[in-house]
Amino acid sequence: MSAKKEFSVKWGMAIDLDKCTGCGACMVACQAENNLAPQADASNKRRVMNWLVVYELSNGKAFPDHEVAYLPRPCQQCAEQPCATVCPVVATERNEEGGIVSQVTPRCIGCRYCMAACPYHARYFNWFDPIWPKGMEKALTPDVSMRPRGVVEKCTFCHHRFMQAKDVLRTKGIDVYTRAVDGKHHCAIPENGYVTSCAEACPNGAIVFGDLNNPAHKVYQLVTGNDNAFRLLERLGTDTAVYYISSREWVRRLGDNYLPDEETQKPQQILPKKH
Amino acid sequence: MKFVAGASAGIMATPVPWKLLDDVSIWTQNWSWIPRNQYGESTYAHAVSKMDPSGVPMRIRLVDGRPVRVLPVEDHPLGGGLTALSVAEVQMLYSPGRVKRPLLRAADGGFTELDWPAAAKILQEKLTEAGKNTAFISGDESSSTNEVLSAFAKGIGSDQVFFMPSEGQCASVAARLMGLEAQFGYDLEKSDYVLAIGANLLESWGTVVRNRRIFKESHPHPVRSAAKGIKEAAPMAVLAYAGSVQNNTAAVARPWLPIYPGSEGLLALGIANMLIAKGRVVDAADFDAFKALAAKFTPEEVARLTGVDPKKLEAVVEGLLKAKAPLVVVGSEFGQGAGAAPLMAAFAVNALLGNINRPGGLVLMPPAQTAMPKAEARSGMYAKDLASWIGTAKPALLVLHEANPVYALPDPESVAAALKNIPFKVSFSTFMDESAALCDLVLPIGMGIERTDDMESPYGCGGSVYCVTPAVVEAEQDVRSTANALLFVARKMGMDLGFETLMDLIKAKAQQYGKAKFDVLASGKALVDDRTVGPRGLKLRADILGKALQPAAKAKDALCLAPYAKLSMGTAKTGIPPYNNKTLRAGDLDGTAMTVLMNAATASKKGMANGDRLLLDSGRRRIAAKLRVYEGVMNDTVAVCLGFGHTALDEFSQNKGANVMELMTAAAEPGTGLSVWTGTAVAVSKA
Amino acid sequence: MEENRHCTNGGKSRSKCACGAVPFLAGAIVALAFGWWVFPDMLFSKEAQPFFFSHGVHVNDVGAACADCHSFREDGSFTGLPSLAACADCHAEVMTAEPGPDATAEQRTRYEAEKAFVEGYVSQGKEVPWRAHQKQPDNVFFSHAAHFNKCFDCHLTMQGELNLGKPDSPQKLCMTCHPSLEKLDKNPPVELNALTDYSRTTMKMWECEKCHAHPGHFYNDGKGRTAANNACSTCHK
Repeated sequence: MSAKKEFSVKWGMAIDLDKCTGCGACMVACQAENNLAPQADASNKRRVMNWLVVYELSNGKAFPDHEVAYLPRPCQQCAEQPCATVCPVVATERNEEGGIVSQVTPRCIGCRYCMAACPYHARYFNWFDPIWPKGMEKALTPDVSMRPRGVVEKCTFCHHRFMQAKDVLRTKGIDVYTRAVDGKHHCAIPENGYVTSCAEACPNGAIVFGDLNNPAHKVYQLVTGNDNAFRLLERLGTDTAVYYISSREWVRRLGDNYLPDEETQKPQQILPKKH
Repeated sequence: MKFVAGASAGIMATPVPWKLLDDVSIWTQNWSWIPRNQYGESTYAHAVSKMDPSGVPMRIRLVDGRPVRVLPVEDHPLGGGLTALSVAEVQMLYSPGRVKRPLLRAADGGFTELDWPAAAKILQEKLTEAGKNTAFISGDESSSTNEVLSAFAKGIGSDQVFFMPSEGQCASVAARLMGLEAQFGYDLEKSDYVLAIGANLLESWGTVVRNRRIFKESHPHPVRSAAKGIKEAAPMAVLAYAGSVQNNTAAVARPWLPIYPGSEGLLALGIANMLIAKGRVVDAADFDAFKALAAKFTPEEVARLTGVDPKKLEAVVEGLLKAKAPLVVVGSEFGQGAGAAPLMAAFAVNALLGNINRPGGLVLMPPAQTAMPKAEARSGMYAKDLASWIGTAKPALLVLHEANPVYALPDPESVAAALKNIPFKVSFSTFMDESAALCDLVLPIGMGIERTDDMESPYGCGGSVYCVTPAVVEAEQDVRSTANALLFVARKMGMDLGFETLMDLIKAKAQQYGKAKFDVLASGKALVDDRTVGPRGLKLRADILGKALQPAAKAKDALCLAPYAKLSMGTAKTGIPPYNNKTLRAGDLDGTAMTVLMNAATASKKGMANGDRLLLDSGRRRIAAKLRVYEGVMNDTVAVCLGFGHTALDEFSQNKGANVMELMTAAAEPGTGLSVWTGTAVAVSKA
Repeated sequence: MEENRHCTNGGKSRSKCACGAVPFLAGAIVALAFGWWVFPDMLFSKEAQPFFFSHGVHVNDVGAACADCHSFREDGSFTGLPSLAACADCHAEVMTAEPGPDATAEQRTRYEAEKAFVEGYVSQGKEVPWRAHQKQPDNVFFSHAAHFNKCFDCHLTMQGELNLGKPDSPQKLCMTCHPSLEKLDKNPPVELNALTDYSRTTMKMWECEKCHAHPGHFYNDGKGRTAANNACSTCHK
């Protein structure tokens, strides 16, 4: 595994599981934004393409003590990617300011090693040609290219919106990266200038998107030192950019495979400061 | 031979093999049947979703004039995000289920296409012929189109103009029975304790996006730090939920009070009794009668009737009493069929809490206005009960506007049979739904973003609100709007309804609402009016409540049926939008079989296990399903999701489960004139 | 195989081998000729623009800058080919004076072309089906804004071969990548690849990498970052 790349700007999410009601608006917004093709029968989940999935979590207790929570799962944008390291054709990598793991489908050969490697099941194999009902192709956005059958796809944090937000700044003559008062480089894109489609659609404000390295951003404030924050399978050391927050311990415990007598851990406790 | 060898060697020194290899690989990445990106300038237009009943303001992104995305609107009293249904609106423009041009039933039973002038002529003939024996059903409660429908009906001597059943209807009838000339409004914004009983506030009740924005604003993200000594901030407002299914609202509500389906009104009466015991009174002429009725609903009795945990209920009532602005919202878990009595009981509870017309309380909004001279008020249309009428009435002509009674009313099979007995049926519909497929004349209307329309105070809002939605894009299909088609026919029939087009009517209405300019409203501005009307002449109507609020009769080994709604599964009009069936979780559908939910205790009582094939039998009809054990369901209850079992529309909606409405039968609610179907019992057996 | 054995066995057969080189060479020459001259013509079709259009007239005679027609939108995206509305700002009516009897052939061509444009497109409100020389493949996100700002931030001032100098003519910025169409009075035909449908002048990735992977672009921060980022998603969507 190559050395982990650190970037001044690290786009990330804080997903508030106490707010998510599991309505699915984010999933539909994601498909519409990223030009995913619909499927008439979407009941066989092994064949269904979804970049973002909302999982149902249960506290495992019987009625009436049962609690339910919903967990939206985009690509976790790991800093230590299990996927990129196994890709034989460098079709996926994390090599750009912002720390988003790219997925270049024209380069992908569909071997699916990355799918086997991804512990989050965030990667999907395209089993079918992307065909829309007649005429619906007119509602496709120009921002994301269509992917043919036989390649692996995944969430890109709506990377095209990042590109567009940078272009807005450039046209106004504003530098994209600026040195802020804390002496570090930050992105000059305003906090609401680059938001993923899922975060934008959610009426509950369950998905907060921004720069995990920028103290002015809400996402930074929500995850830094928050005992209610956790990441999925933290102890694998994937160092993901998607944090979840919940005041319920049973929800936080579902984020990792804890033994019954193990204590629920916080992100800071698990990862050493330096790798 | 050597020539070929030389040629082979030579060709290697030319670009031919290499260029071809490269080009072929590029060729394989751009198959002609895969669509390509189409570029152009991005522009944005404001609209209000007419497809989503919860009244969602939207910003439509167009690329080179083509709508491609629905985006949320923050700066709007009903805005702040999107629902899983409204976000799919531009894709629905191209739904395979759309009606493309007017269709007329031919002698062989199929449809033949015709043009609008011919269709209008047939419509005119049939309307003239049927005259006062014409009935109208509207599936859009908030549009001024209803004024055109009712004024037209009046013009031909008919008063049979119905709405599809809704929560708004239950509330309107409740208000009328209590002597109030008002629409119930809910000031969720300023409330600090909201108890929703049955009302699926964050998914299908009222102004969903607004409700959810208020939930977002009142619930800070849970931040806690032992190191920095930061404790978690308490929510600014409590959201408590009482209902039989741990649905989308119950998932985030604290606490969830499980109750039997259909017992919402009984729980409200129980709460009323507890409040009266704490010395709360209501300034109403018949308060003593109400007090006497409520006294029967002791905590023990309420626990027996509703299944609620008395301790949890007591804590909630304490919370309501302590709150500065408590608010109790009662509704049906699936947005229909609750009747008026539970809403009347809820009004009494709110009155006992002293929050009528107070900030954060239950607001009595002035009734929706009419601008068309002969139009009937919305409350007048609400007063007519469709479910009981449709089985008995025999109109000569039925006109549907965006309504799909054959799918959405209880016992759809009987509704279909009733429709078949009507000699001529017309459907103004965007999609070829179950009802349109039964009609003799199907007239395509544009989707909300293809037509100019308006939205007036949708049920659940906190104050009068009026929005206009302009045509953002021109329809590719040969469509008209229902209102304009009827206004055209009216002129041909020599009727003067006062307006030439719906646009003129909307302009007049905008003038009525604070002299607003149409263009300003069409650019996304909402007109808000916070005026209230006093609860003068309030009667609590214990006489009706006592009769109407009875525990549902149920055979001993039957289960309560708890239907629940998800906006993601669309409405009866739209079916499941193409992208939305992917939001079904693994196990929600097994092939074409739908899943129903029971808790483990109920399942084991019935000798059933997760994955069993079941039959749900109402005595009249039965549906097949697969059992999923889900602990978030009340005891002795089986929960079934609405929106499955479409037989019309398109491949995204069809071949998925069964329509739970099949199991329900409308029963008369004593004293209110409405029908109820929230308290259905079903026998469940292994298939 | 039989022949080969003869070659290695005896003198007689050696002379036979020398004769064998002739057809081999002939074959090679034919193949080379085919590969280098005939094949490109077979692979690429030549498509003319819908009517005669001269960049030269607009740039040299009218004094237009590239950005007058090919401009940025407010959201930072690039318009590329101008819309009919943009053209109609000037060409609402035929602007060229009707050529007199002593007009040159060139003047006539220009007049006829503008007349065809105004009558065939402007007055009918029909968008011109221009043939684009450089259309991006779908999987490419190309930001004109990024190149205008980032590249020229350094390259307008730095010393050395890539110094583009002061933008005394604004065209210079564009000509770094685009052919100098302003010198041509007639657009060259658009050559479309029969297999891929991309034009011949569509840049290949290695051409992008001339800058994006240029060693001179590496920052000295030891993190392997470059001024012209060469990460996949910098250019791909």
